[in-house]
Amino acid sequence: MKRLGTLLRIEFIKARKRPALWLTLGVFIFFTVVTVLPNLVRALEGGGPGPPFALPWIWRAVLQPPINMGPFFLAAAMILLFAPEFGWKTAGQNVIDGLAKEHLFFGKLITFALLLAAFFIVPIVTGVAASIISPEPTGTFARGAELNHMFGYALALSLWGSIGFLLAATIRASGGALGIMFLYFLVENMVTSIVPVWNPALERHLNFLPTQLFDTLTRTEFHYPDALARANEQRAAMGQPLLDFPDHGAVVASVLGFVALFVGVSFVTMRKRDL
Amino acid sequence: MSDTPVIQTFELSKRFREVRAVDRVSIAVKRGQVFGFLGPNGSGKTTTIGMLMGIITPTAGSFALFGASDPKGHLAARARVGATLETPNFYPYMSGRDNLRVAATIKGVGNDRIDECLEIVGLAGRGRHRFRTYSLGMKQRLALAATMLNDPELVILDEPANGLDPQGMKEVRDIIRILADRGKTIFLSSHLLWEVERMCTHVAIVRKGQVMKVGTVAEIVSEQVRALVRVEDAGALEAALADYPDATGVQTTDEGTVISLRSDDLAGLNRYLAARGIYASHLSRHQQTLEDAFIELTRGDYGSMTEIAS
Ligand SMILES: Nc1ncnc2c1ncn2[C@@H]1O[C@H](COP(=O)(O)OP(=O)(O)OP(=O)(O)O)[C@@H](O)[C@H]1O
Ligand SMILES: [Mg+2]
Repeated sequence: MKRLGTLLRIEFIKARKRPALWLTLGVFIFFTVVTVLPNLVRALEGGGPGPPFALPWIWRAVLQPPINMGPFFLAAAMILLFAPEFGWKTAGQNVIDGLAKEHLFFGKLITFALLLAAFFIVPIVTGVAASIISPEPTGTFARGAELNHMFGYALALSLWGSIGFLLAATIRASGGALGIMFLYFLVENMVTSIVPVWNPALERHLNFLPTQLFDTLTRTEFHYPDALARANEQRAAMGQPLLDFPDHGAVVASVLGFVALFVGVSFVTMRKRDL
Repeated sequence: MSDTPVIQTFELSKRFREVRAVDRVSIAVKRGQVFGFLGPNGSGKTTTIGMLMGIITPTAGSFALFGASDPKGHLAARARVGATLETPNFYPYMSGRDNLRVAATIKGVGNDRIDECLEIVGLAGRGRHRFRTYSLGMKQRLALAATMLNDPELVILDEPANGLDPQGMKEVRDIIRILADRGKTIFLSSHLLWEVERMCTHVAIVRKGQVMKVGTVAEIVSEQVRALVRVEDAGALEAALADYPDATGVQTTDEGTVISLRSDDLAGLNRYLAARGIYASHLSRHQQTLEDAFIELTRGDYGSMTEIAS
């Protein structure tokens, strides 16, 4: 318990003065507010067609692009925050000062959890605040579909946050780690668009790659039946194969599996490495 | 007080691929010693200290800190140690003070110690400035302040005088002396030999990862009788000495020719040389300095450097 306090205190001292952290968080907050604002203005001016801009319907509008990009902001924040610490060799000094490598890692894990919470709370607080300001009638906080949507967003945050964690811990330079993350986007997108042409049976499996999972977790079509129905109408008109709700169990299991794998690999790398 | 060594290594070794950075090093540092760990560049000093401090995993051998040789014991022992490694490793974007706050939090000491330590190293006025903006000497001073935060029983310093001006070096020496007087054990690596000679009670000389010699400064430097001779023709002197039964070694230095002798008979040497028409303008007993001993033990390591230069 005392050790947890120590870890929290040093992470706080360090994070407080990191522009990289406040910048990524600030930019994300800015985008969130800017995205919600036009909807709010419309609601204040009497509202448009479609569901009211208030709880619980508001979540569908809030957790859409670009706010659903939160996971990538989190990954970038993780990289900017963690990667340089290994490059500066300050982790080594922490160990010299008496912190075990395991504690050091645990401290990073706590920061990860807190950052994840921050990137989750920003759109939630924005949604609630917008709903309070909006004159439209308010219902419950969220129903099944909206809770699912939030849960999907939280899982996407965990997945991409842990990817940021892994890249920071293994590459140890923020520039290089960010570069590799973007390279990975490109490669995954190329793979998922080329491979099914050769072997259509593989497409199902490719859906479990991190970027595709992000898509699955945050797309409105996969959380709201009416959105799915509308999307499928269009697809049918264009002769494309129809979409179906993903297998929730498989998606959740693969995300948690990835998170455990990435965090685990980060831990093993860090423990084995000479600091 | 027990007689358990504060630091003891058993065949401690580290390999980086084909480089044997540290090769079966076995040393013992007792309480109250000021132990100098000396060696040329790349001889494994930093690597050894890194292993003692838990940031480099040994490839073979083991070590004990305050008698504890398991990882848990090492961790507990580190609370009684203050150490820095090579270049000072601090968060560049944070002030010197905040950096010390991080260290103090880990060590579990209060913030009042921070100002005290900044004061001792002469950084009190600059504590609020960012580490990034410090000069090399100021960074070294901050590192020294960090090692003293927990009032450690054992202080480990890797090249503490690196980057310091003469005034700073003297201050470091004074600090080390004060710590030693208070009964602290000090383990320091250095290549500033005259500095070490003035401070250390014991030294180990390492070369290519191996300990060449270890003992008190007196033991290391004065095991042999030497004569310093100055003559006009050093070549003739060396040729003549080849047949002198008492001579065990000849070394040309800036000061003259240093001859290692089996006996104490300087007059005999003088007679022998005069009989061969070699007249010395200077002949005296030569007290070997630590630097001489060091150069002799680590000869060859710098050879390539002078070859390139000439
Ligand atoms: N991380 C590493 N990877 C590969 N080789 C290394 C590593 N660290 C040290 N070495 C090698 O180990 C040897 C010992 O290095 P070390 O830094 O311990 O020497 P040193 O005695 O501290 O030298 P100096 O006086 O220059 O500081 C060198 O040959 C060095 O190249
Ligand atoms: Mg070194």
